[in-house]
Amino acid sequence: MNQRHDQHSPEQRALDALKKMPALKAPDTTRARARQAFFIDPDTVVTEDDASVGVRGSVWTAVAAAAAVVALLIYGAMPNGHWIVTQAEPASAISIVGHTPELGQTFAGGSVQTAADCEFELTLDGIMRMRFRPDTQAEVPSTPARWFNRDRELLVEAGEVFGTTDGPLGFSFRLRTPEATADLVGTTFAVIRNAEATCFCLYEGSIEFTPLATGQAATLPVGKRVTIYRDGRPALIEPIDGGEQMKLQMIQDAGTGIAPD
Amino acid sequence: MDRSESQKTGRASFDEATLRRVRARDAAAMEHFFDHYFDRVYAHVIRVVGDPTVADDVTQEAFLRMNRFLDRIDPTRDSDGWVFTVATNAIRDHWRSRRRGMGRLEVEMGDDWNEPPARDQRSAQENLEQEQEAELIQRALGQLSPADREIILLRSYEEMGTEEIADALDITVEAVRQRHSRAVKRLGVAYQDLTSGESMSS
Repeated sequence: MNQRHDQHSPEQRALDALKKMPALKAPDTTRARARQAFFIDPDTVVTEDDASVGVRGSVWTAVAAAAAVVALLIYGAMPNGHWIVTQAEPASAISIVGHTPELGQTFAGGSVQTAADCEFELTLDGIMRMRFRPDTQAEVPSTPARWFNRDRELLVEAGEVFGTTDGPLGFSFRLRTPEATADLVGTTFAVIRNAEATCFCLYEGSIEFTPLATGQAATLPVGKRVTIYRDGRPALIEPIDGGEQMKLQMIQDAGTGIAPD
Repeated sequence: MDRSESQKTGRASFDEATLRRVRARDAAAMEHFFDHYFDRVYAHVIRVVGDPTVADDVTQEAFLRMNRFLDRIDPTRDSDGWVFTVATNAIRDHWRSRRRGMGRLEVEMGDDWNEPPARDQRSAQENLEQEQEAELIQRALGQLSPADREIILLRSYEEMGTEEIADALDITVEAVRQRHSRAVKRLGVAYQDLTSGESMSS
């Protein structure tokens, strides 16, 4: 029946010894348990099919694992907090697509336009605060997801946005204007766009800016402002002025808590 | 009494009528069936899984499954294939549940083992030699993976046919042959190493 090996080969000697292995007698307790299992009324046992139980177990394990992965993906892609409107005065002078700004309400992100006599402020609790000065037009990103899709970008088309973060951000946050970009790494900053240029101001922390015309990134020193002209003149770095310094100090003092200051 | 004397030649295959009675849950036939297979199934299980406690559980599970699916016995075929297929499935489900895959483990024959049921009339010297040989082959088996042990025990100890084993393991007949051949080679190497070591130490 079995493959025959050379009589003196290790395989054959092992097989010969195997066939001479003694019969084994199980402990009486094991016999008793098995006997009970064999003679139990099958109608009293509710179990799965023998032939399929392993397969079903594997299938359900796979389904559970897939569900866990999906749940983690969903959880990881969920927003990590919400923008909260912490200032909107007067609310009637603020244009937000599909949204009426009211204090304490969440803001999912979108276009923001403030009139000449109003300010609007959003706070991501414990992480970041942004104040949109009068006559500002911007596209505000949604808040970053927990684990995935965490890169965010604030587009400032006109006006002034002052912001502060609570230490280094745990996600990528880029300021963008038609002339330049600036990447934040935990900082108190301002982005200003007027008819002539884009200005990034750095009060504290770190910003790396890139004029789109040249594509050459540079680091902005603390306490400085960089002006990136629309007409292509070289970027100009100079100390922030008194008015900017005051506003930057104010936004930094406000912190990143959601309670209006 | 070794296995070849007590089971191989003395094993009475159930006739079709008896198996029909087992299928019909005739108490006497079931009793006969259980007595015939219990020690063989338990010995097979413990030699594959290596742990008496686990073997106890798996054997119980195997007989529970046999009970549930008695109506699936084919009275026209040897019931050995069906019994060891159920036992094999119980072992494999145990491995799956423990997520230990096919890792190696040492087979230990601890104090839970009872002595073989009876001794023949061989000399004390013969008995001693056979006990030593049995211990060595058991240790050699213990050095193999559970999968190797399983296929060797089914094919070379229980002498199941390749088709029956293929059904039990859900693999092709050719795969059975290849796996068995490779497993036997590994068993030979392990056994030779042990016997060489034994000779040197004695």
